[in-house]
Amino acid sequence: MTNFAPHLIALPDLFNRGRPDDHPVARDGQRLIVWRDFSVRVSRLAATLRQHPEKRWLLTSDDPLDFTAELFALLLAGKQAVIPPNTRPGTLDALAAAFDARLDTLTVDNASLTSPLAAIDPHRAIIDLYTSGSTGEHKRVRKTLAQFDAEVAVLESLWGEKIGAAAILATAPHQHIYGLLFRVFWPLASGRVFDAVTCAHPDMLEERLAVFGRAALISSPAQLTRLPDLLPLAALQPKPVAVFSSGGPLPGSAARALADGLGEAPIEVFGSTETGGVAWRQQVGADGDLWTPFLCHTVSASDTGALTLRSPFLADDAPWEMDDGIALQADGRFRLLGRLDRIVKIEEKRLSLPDMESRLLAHGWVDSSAAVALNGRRQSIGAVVVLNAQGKAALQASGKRAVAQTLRTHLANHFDAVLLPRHWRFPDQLPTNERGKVAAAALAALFDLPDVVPEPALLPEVTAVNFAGGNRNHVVLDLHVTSDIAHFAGHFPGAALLPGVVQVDWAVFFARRHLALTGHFSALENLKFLGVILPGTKLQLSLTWDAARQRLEFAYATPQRKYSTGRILFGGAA
Amino acid sequence: MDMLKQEIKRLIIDALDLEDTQPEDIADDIPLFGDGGFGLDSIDALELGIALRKKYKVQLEANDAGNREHFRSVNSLAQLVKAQTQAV
Repeated sequence: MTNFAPHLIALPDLFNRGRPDDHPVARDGQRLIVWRDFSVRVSRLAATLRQHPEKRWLLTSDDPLDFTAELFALLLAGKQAVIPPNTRPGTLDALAAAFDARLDTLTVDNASLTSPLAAIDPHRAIIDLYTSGSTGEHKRVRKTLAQFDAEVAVLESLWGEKIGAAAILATAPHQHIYGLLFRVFWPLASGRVFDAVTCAHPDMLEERLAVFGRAALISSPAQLTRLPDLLPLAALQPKPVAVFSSGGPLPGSAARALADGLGEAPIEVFGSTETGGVAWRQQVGADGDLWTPFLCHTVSASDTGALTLRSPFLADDAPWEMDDGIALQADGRFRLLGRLDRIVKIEEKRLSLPDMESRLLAHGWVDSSAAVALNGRRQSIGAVVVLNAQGKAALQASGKRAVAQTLRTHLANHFDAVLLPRHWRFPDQLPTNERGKVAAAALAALFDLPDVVPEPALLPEVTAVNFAGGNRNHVVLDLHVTSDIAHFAGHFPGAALLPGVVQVDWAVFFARRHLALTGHFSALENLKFLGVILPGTKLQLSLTWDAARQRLEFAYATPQRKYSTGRILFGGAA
Repeated sequence: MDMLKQEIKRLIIDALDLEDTQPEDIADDIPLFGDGGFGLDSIDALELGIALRKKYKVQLEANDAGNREHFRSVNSLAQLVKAQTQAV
């Protein structure tokens, strides 16, 4: 194989600057595709596209190399790329107004027609991605090539040296932002070879690693958590030079198993379609669960405790609020505290629960419905459906399995197979909690399956919020520290107790939510842990904000005893 | 062979935690994956690979097309298991 040194070319200049004719771009099976083949193909396709008046083109190719060539041909021809969230018929119907033509129906002119390989205007080259918004509609996320280019430069500065001239292998799909950045744009811009197949199965991975010799792996928790069961990692030769994971946090146990087998824990990247990459971590050591923001970002917590970001990967300089709760540390790193809305991830695929509920409601048998994420042997969706008279008749006539199958087929028009409910309940009414709301815990309780445990909670249950006498600087919360809190696991073997660091995180989180907190976390004072907080404890968290001195006093206590007290100092105005 | 198919159906139900499903709900030749078939997904394919490996020490192929063929139906899985357990 040709030797080369990675050399970053800005994405907009990739084609006008070009690379040597024999520079390897991708490998398809055993065959190497070199720059000359690739650029001629892109140029031909761009020339064909220029003959069509349509502006916005739907891009759905399953083949990473075809997809890449088509994407750049579109941008070179001055067109827009529209990349759907999935290719389910219902999804494409819903997006029908978002594109003018489809690339998969284009006949490429094989005449000697070529298009000049000019620079691409990075701010006018538009790529539309879609994700699930909280309203249930497919939400368009418009990106420019400039945004992707900024992120590629950051990836190269963080990990370019580490992976050197390694090729890029992937189990993650190229159509979503993570795959698009890590396995398409990054290798193309840096001159690394990317694999033109997606390793759907670990056995393929072993074979592709052998073909490439030196390779970095672009993967995700769904694959990586199962990898130690599917491949003898310790004996694997050659091993990947680095493993990247994104789409959701990797469980600590999986990170350790991979570190044991491969010599190093995966590099995890936290981000979203809207923001691109936000932060990264490698789960090593005691504070390995903390995320480090990319250097070019400013991360803060909003007054509801949500991660707020300013970033060059965003369309403008305005702060962007995510729906993830965070606990910021004094050094700028943060711990994720879970989603603040009803969007869940099932094996990395993002799902708006209200979206699924409204799709269920559209079926002629459904009176009302609720969906809940279940975390059992695998992550899955449970559907709770109240059937109308027609639905009940169908249930009577053909049974639960048949009714569930019909509703599943109805949903399959709109959702990826991984997101379709695997567990169904048909009660006479939806379960509600004491406040009359349909609560996730009550829904999950309907699924008393042997292996299913509800999603581990990251925050305690808040049963009351009291402001004393209209004073907006002092609040007392009644908390129930339920036994399913994830932080109990691993602290400490044989004796589950709530770690002090989590108590501090929670104090800051709830203070941001209920009090007019300003500034960023700078120091801790007078910290006293007087008693251990065990699973199931009900207690009060008292928070007092001294705005003038930017100090937060907290106390965890019951009328009978104090558990912990302390003072948290804040600095700056951010 | 029928015993083996029955055993594989039970393995599918148990390993994938399929609700309200009995072995007789899975026809021998129904496509296990994809539209219009039994409706298993990509995560099921991984989990099924783990279960087959644990129970029958089955080795899968390094190419996707070959595996897709093996995982097509209960019939093809039974052939795969039979071929590999006889070879040992």
